Amino acid sequence: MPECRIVLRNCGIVDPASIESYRAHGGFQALRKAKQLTPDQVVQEVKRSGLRGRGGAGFPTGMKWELAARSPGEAHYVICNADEGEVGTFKDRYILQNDPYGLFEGIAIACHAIGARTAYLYLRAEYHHLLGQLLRALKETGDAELGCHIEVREGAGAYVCGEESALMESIEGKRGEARYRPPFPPNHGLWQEPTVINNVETLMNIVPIIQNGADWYKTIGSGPCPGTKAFSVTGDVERPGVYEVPFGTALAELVVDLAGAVNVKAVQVGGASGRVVPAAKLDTPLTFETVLGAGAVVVLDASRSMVELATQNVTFFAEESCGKCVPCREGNQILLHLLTTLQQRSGKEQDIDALRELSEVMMISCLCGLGQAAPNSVVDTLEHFGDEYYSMVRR
Amino acid sequence: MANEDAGLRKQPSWYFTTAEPHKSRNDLLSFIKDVQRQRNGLSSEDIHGIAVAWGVTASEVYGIATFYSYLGTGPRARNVVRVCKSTPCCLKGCDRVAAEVERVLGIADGGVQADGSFSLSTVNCIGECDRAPAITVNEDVYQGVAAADVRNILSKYGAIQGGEDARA
Amino acid sequence: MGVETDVVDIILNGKAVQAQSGTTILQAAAANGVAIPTLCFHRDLSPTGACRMCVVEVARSRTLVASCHTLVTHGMVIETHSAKVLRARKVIMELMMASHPDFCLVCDKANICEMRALSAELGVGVPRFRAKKRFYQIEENPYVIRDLSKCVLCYRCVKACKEVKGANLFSMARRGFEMKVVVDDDAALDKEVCRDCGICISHCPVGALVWRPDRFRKPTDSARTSCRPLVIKG
Repeated sequence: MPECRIVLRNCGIVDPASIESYRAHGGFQALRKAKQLTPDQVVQEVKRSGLRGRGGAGFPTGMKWELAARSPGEAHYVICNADEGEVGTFKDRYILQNDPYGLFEGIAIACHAIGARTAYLYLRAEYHHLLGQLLRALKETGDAELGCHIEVREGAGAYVCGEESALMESIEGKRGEARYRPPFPPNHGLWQEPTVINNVETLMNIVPIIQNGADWYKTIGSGPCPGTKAFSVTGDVERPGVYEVPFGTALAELVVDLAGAVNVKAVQVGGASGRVVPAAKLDTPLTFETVLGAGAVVVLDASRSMVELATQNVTFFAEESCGKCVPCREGNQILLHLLTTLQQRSGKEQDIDALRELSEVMMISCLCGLGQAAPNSVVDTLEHFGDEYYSMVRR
Repeated sequence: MANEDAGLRKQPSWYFTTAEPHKSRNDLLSFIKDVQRQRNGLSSEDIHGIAVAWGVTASEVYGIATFYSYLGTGPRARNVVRVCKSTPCCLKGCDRVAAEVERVLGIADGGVQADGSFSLSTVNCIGECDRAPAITVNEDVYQGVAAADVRNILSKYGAIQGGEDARA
Repeated sequence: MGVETDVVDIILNGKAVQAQSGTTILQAAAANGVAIPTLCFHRDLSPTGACRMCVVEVARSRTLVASCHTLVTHGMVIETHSAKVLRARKVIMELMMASHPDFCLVCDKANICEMRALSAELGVGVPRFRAKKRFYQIEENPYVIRDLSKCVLCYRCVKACKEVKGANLFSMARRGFEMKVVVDDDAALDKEVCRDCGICISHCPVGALVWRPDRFRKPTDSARTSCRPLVIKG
């Protein structure tokens, strides 16, 4: 299957520094069309399209909007999550660099749909170099054109702030600790007001859906996952980069045909919190139901150690855990200790059992998605490459 | 769904107050960042100053500043070097780049040069993986860095002292 | 929308019972005679959801649910002591014990330590997991002794000071395993920084915060500057 560009439609075509260029390519037509519809009509169109959140969880976007729109509150907010911290992801950066106006238009339509006057764009600190361009583009567009005010908020270096509840805490000027849910953001979000939080890529789908209609959108992709997904492919490949393919495309097509991977041993899909797919299962279709996450695809060739991969991921989570809940704060520390012991060839077989049990408990008991997903790579590498672990046990 | 709503209608007060609506506080993060930039660090005096200005306690400001990896307390080097150590960069040899930065600057990971001109930290994914390995110096991003490039890149930010070459 | 009632029907451990709407699973279970273990929860304080000790199984939920901050809803099917739940609680306790000092014998609060009681209840003996422990200097002021090596980061002192006393002396700082309760900009708790009401001490579930045994002794002249007699102010 070749690439299919919906989200990246303007990348490389529109001059990201010129609003005139964006207008010349049909910019803001969808927003004008949306403004002629009632907010509820917009929500229903998005709902009918079957669009699902691209941040990783795949929650139906239209339903999220509907919940927020119907939720009473003094003010409603839209937050665009540009805290793209997942290891190996840069598709949002690519979009922000190449199509800022398209994103603003999507945000503006979301604001119209849920009755928000203010939207926040939460930009991760690591992307500070994009700030100047974004602010220039925002100023050039103006609130009048958008019908809402978009404020850029910068993060300060915390992966957990990509998690929606921690992100809101951060915008509120606090430590980015996860909140417990319920209450969910569409009911009580930012400052306890109804809030819609969407990933950059999710919002990039809004303009084409409004322009071409939900029926058109549903023809792309596969069944419960309509549309396309942008993937950031890195690791042992010839052509790393951002690729956009329809849902349901086989993993092999993405990493081998498009990105040029050779001698694949495993592919980690979804970054540090993602699943590890062994080479034998490269025909896995890419959908929310199989593997996906935020779309980070890291290819590992035959020379790579899977225990090392798991150790790296767990190290990442030990550093990025907010520390609020016990299973994540202490659990990642212990996982790391067990993995290091194994790598130093001083581990025992019970340590592998402990890895397994601890991972299972963390996945069901942590407060937020970060902790629940942290042991994913340990579980998967244990399942598919268990021999590597057992070969490290001290005999 | 309908029944759930009926159940949720009588909510206890704490249900809403997980976060108190301090709307005025919402710029605190960028404010701390600005203070840190202007004063080259965050001293105890700065923390107390921010606390008074924003009507929060010093412990809260300290708590926020130490939570985020781009904030932090104490003095800050004039040039902050960050080397990405996440998997995609690692697969492309970020270890060699980090070792070269350590060698050139004469400091270890997390260290600051004695004269405060450079600091080095290895960080998690900075989203420049398409051309790994990547490093940042202050707000500039360098992709596809080879160990041989390190000295050239760093010398753009001022004279390098204290490295292995200087001692030799 | 549905019928507005004050009572919801739930199924608790296989038994159909009723619960007040707007109560948490924890409260509803207690009202029906089922005790769920807790650690970071305290009845005086708003729920935190940090220790995950009170997790329960709720039908159709992907993960376990912390009962201290989840409200009951109509038709909820809850298992508070299933094998899955008990295993999770046990592992969580083992995790907490792994970084906790092994000095129960000489701990001032050993007899009233909630963590010790809970680990006995859950059948956690010598913990399986061994990793690094936290080491901090013991801090003393005229009234309080604080040993953060024993702290389980339950937020109870932070919340008690803020929500009950309205003083907001403490805050959490740093993140992950390095997380720590701080006063001021990480100053030692070695002077009178508050009115020493002791609310943080009585809310601390472990031996991290204890009264200083000699706090009522008459100060000598030399010590008068640092240790004034306790005056109850309005």
